[in-house]
Amino acid sequence: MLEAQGPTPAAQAALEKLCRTYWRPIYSFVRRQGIGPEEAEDLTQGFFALLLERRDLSAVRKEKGRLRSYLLVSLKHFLADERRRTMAIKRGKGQRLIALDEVRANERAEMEPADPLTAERIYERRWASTLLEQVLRRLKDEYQATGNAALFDRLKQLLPDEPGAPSQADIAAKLGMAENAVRQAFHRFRQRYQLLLRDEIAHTVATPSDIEDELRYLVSVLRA
Amino acid sequence: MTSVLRLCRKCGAEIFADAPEELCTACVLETGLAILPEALDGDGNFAPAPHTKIAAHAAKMLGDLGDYELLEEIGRGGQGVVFRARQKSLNRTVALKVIGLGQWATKAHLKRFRREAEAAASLDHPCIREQAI
Repeated sequence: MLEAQGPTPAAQAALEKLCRTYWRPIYSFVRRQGIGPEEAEDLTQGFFALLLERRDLSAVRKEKGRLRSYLLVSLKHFLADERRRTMAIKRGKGQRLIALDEVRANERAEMEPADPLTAERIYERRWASTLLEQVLRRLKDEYQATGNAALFDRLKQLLPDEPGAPSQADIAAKLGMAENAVRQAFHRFRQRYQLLLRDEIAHTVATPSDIEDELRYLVSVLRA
Repeated sequence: MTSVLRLCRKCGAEIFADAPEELCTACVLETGLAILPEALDGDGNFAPAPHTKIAAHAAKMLGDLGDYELLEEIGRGGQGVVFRARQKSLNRTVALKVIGLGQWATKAHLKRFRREAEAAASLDHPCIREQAI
């Protein structure tokens, strides 16, 4: 759990990895404050630089053991400090504090001012999708490493249990496998997915007992 | 801006082009909620090494049945429960089917259970392990 705590090199490496993984929710939150893409990138980098400089995530426990909540609170403090600092520099010069550039071409609709989602909601949704992206990437890597990339591509379609998705029989026919073999393969696939999901969440919470709560919370955020 | 790829056919949510593996994030995460029992340890916690931990826990909980040490439950049917077990006298791993009704089984139940075992024992195929009744 949260091995990114403390001053050891391993903790530092773990913290850097977390920063690389979860930069997107941070960036999305900053952008939703009406800050332009370049400035938002700079602020995101600056925030992580400060976090790495402190080399300490022990304060995470204050946020009920959630890295997600801790980063958001820290980010709000960081942005408030930055705003004060910038205001002090630019005060009296008649300059606009923030240049509201056009939204970048590759950004989601939720960044637009008309979008009713709050910045925090966007942050949490981004967090959930980043987490899932990470889990599916690990699962895909495992299947690729054993020469089963095609099997991964088929079985992943069964994960959401979506009506109209290819059936196990369809997949069996496509891959030249017995239907029973596909059923067993999917059982293992789903089991592995669930394990990796919990393993990934474990990196962001303080104790194992928080894992299920965090997962349920992330689902509720997406369903809200 | 990232375009909406399609709507999820299960929940109707928008699936963006940059969604993980182009799947509905909410539905896939929800699938993760319904944890399969094999992935949890005895205390209901996430078990990073499922096979060793669960087997050890099952053995601890299940105990012995005559010459057999019950290792884990591997399936359930209409009549009974199948366990992976170790036959202590021959030190071999076997699949052991136990009648589900236990001490409440009537003569008729036992007869039917025995008939099924005899039928299974009469099968001869390289893929079928030998049956002991």
